[in-house]
Amino acid sequence: MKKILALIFILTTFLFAQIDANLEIIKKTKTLPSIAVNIASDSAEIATLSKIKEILVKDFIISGHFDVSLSNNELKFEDEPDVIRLANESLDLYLSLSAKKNLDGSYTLFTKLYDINAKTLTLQKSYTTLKENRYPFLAHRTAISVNDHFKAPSISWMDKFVVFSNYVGSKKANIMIGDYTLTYKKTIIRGGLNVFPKWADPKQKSIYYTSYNYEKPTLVKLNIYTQQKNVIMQSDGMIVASDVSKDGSKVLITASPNNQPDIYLYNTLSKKAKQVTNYSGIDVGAQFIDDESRMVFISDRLGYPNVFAKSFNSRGVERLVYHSRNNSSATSYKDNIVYVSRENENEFADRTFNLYLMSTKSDNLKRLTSSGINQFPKFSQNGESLLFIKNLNGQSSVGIIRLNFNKSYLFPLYNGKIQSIDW
Amino acid sequence: MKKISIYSFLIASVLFTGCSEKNVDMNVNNEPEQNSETVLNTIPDTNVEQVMDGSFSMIEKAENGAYYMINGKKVFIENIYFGFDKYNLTADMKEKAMSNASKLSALNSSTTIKVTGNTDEWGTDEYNYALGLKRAKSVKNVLENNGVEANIALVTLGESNPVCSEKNKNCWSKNRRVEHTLVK
Repeated sequence: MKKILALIFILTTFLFAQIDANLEIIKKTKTLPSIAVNIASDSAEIATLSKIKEILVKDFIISGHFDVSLSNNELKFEDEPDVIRLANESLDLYLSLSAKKNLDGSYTLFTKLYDINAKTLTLQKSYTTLKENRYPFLAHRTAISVNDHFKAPSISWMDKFVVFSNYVGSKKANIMIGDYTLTYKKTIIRGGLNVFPKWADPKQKSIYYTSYNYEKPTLVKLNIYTQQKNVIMQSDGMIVASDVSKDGSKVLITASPNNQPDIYLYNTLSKKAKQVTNYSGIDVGAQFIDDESRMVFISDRLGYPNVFAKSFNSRGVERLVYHSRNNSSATSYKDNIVYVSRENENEFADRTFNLYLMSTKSDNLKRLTSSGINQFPKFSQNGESLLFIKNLNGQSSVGIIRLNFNKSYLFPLYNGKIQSIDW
Repeated sequence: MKKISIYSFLIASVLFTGCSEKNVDMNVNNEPEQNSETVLNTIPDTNVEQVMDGSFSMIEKAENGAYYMINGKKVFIENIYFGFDKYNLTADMKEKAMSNASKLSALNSSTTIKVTGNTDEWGTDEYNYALGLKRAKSVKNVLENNGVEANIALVTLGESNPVCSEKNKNCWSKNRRVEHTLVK
């Protein structure tokens, strides 16, 4: 039975997501609770509900905290499940779903979670969205609340928007938001060239992005709800918001007012920018580290792009990566750094960009991807997951790596090519 | 060219005034000698207009550059190309940039040359955009050091502006380029 479940699990994983070839699949043990997700037999709104169920099952699998059973049961929403029979199927949890379209057009998902071993209804929640096309978030919220109910490590990133720039033609890129699976997507800036979007605040109300629709490259802040736009800064050459501090008060900006790309620390309250690097080559891609007292950044001061760190209050620059001679972007969480390494031509492809995970406190180095162009790595808030973009064979995808589980999942974008992403 | 037209104009004006004075002499002496000035005003002054005012217009774009009319002369401003992950100019490209400089030095300082850096598709991060900018800067340096007086504005488009999309080395090298656009 266990073998079948494990096999089904593996097959399901392949069904729902692509996995990077070089990552190992961890052997499943019985420490994960087995959960079945079923649509109540008397529910309306089956079409959307089926899609919600699909996303919910994916969320549980990706969390790595549940074993998803394909056990299918005919059960009305108000009826109790046959716990004896389900216990015999080695099921630990049974999640029943029902939905309703309300008079005002809003859509409500009803959920009931039964603990089979305790023979009780352990969690009952409903979630409503004003717009039915936002149903993926109903699934994500359900997964998060079941996950949190069992005090498993947080997967709250699943409920967040990703914001990304999408190349749709030559000198044309639109800014879009979506759920992490890209099932829900919405274009929020359209027309001309708009790149490098970044969330401006933890509540995801505003974004920074670079617009080429002004006389010179311009950093714009947009409130995605009110549509209010503010020009933050302009620069000849290039301008990019690289990272935003946790409270949104400081922004690390790459700009080149004298045609020289350097990093600036911008204070959103005083509206003043302080130049932080002044090497005459390339200094870009800064990210806050160490409680925002230092930054990690990319510089070619050694003749090739590599990863360095610097305090905001002193001049010294520390080299962080000693592997490879071409590391063009980095993200960090506590002692961990993930960086992008351009690798030479090999038998798989002309050039690949792979993600590497290293610790500043040890010699550990782990390659996280094996093929394609993998870029824009960004840790989740709790450092357990990594967001990235993969471009392979003309297909652009959002990637999620669950670092503790050595698992990687891809969500393709079918129209366009992702330029950059943030969550 | 400039000197010859000025001299010929001067000579022409002398000749014309000379003729008119002759005519005046044949009439009664009391008539005011206004003829020389009048004659000057009726000469079609095409030669006077042909100073080097730095005027330009774009004729057409080609695969590896653009044709411009500068001061009435058709010139080709060539794109400058770069090696993979590089922003320095090879000897060959430096020569092309200097040749561009000599053509663009005819422009005056109120014109802006927009020098745009581009990269191939390998990489969309900030480093890639910065590479485009450094390429544009390398070209700007050559232009400024070789007599270009016009304003030079730099911008990088990274990999967002490809001229081709085939997945081969030939296309990638075509995209690693700097382009020039003249702006009033």
